[in-house]
Amino acid sequence: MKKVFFCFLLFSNLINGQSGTVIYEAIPLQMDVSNKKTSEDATTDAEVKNMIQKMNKGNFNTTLIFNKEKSYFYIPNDLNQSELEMGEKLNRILMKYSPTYYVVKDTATYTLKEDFIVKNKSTLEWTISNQTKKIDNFICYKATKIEKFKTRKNEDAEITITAWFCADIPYSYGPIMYNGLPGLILELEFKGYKYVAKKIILSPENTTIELPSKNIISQEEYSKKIKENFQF
Amino acid sequence: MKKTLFSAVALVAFSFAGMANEVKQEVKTIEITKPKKIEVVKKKDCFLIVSALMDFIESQIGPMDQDTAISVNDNLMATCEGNN
Repeated sequence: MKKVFFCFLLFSNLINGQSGTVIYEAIPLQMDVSNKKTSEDATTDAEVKNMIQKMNKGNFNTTLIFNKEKSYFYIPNDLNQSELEMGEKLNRILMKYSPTYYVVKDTATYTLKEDFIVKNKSTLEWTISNQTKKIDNFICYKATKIEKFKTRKNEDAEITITAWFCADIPYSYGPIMYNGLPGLILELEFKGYKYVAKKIILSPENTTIELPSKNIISQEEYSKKIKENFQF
Repeated sequence: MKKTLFSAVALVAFSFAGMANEVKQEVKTIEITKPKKIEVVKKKDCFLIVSALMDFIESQIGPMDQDTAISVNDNLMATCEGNN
């Protein structure tokens, strides 16, 4: 387990801090393709292996900033989509990465897309267990959430999201769209993909976080939009 | 004497005139060179590649939800067709 570097300006900020920043390392799943044949066609097999190797290439850093009312999860000074390597682009999609706001009073996330914002009000509760583990010097509790979805073959499926949160850092935020626990999420895991906190900065000063003024649509409207021109 | 001279001059003149009317045939040389190597470009079957890649990813991480699958598919197809 990588050492988490905690930079506390004042110890009392743990309780009374006004704002904070967390750097999470996004760790993609390493897919083993070496001894497997991905297609009967040799050209296709080579292309697939080449792409998987690109996806296995590396981790990337993400940032969460927050105050008492809102958080914003993003990649600072990020490249344009067209400038990204395909491997990283795919990892970001599979790791559900999009710049995302969380508004405590709405208990909803707002995901930034190019022309609009997608509002997703979470109706699923976390299940908190007694299982704990230490991340650096912090005792973290395990919480899980099961998400149901339709596959591309239109079958029902589900995934388990596992979060390790620290009740001693009383902010209900976390990476991507996962929030709402009684403490900051220091580690998030699903399907072998991980977001792991590397650095936390708590500050007595307030940070202003404002949603950009764009048209807001629901998750259902967004799903309908992207399926309009697509059939599996 | 004069008659003979006239006849000779006339003969020579007609001969030149006759030669001038002949069709001049140009000689063309055709050089047979080695035939150029024909380049055969086999375009990738993007549909096949993207399908195989998505199947492989799903074999590793489990099924993708529809929104994720559409994004992955669109990005892969765009890249594959762009490189074709």
